[in-house]
Amino acid sequence: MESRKLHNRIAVLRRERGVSRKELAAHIGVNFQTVGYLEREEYNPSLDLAFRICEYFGLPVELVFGTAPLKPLSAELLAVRKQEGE
Amino acid sequence: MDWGRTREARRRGVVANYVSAALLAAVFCAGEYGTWNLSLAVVFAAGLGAFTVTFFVTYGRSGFWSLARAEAGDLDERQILVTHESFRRSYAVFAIVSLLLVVIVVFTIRFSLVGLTWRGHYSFGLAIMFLLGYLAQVLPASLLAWRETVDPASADDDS
Repeated sequence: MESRKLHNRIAVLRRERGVSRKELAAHIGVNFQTVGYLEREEYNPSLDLAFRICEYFGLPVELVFGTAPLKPLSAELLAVRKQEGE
Repeated sequence: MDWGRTREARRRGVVANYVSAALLAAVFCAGEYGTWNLSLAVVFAAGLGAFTVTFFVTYGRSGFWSLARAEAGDLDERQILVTHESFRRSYAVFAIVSLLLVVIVVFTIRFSLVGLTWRGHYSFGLAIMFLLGYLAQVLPASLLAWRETVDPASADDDS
């Protein structure tokens, strides 16, 4: 069975926090080039690695990974605010 | 020369390395079966130079040789996956190439397609040994270099 392509926000979150690929790689226990492959969505991480990434950013899995292309975080935040306002 | 930087350049390097290895073997056979002369020696030296340079640039400097030979404990999950895949494909390619070579040699001997003396057998035997031995060693790194998008030795840090 061919696995689905997973989309993620790793690049955005990493830049937002001013972390280099090498620093992130050291924290999640992979080669820094693997972070590049993850960011370019050329590699789907294992469940364990996905959780390690989410733990590092302190975010739930659904905010970092998705099976459909992810919207910008600002758009998602706006949608949540609109929902709360209704 | 930016060999090893892009996948296309790396693929050209892989092809150039195999072509130079085949050229080396062919010139060796021509020299041993016939007679070595200055022009053959020059072509052999040029082939050896091209072989060394393409090997160093495509596999050595880029880091694919080391990646293909690394212990599993030194690799992360993605690297284990891609090296495993390269070894699996290498085994299949090597088995087919070896089988084809055996078939060619058997048919050549059975039907006396090439009238070889003992010297011819010796030079062709050595060339085949060199090519098969080299192929067995370099195939996993070749497949990694062919398929990977980034060199293992590149900085790839856009921070």
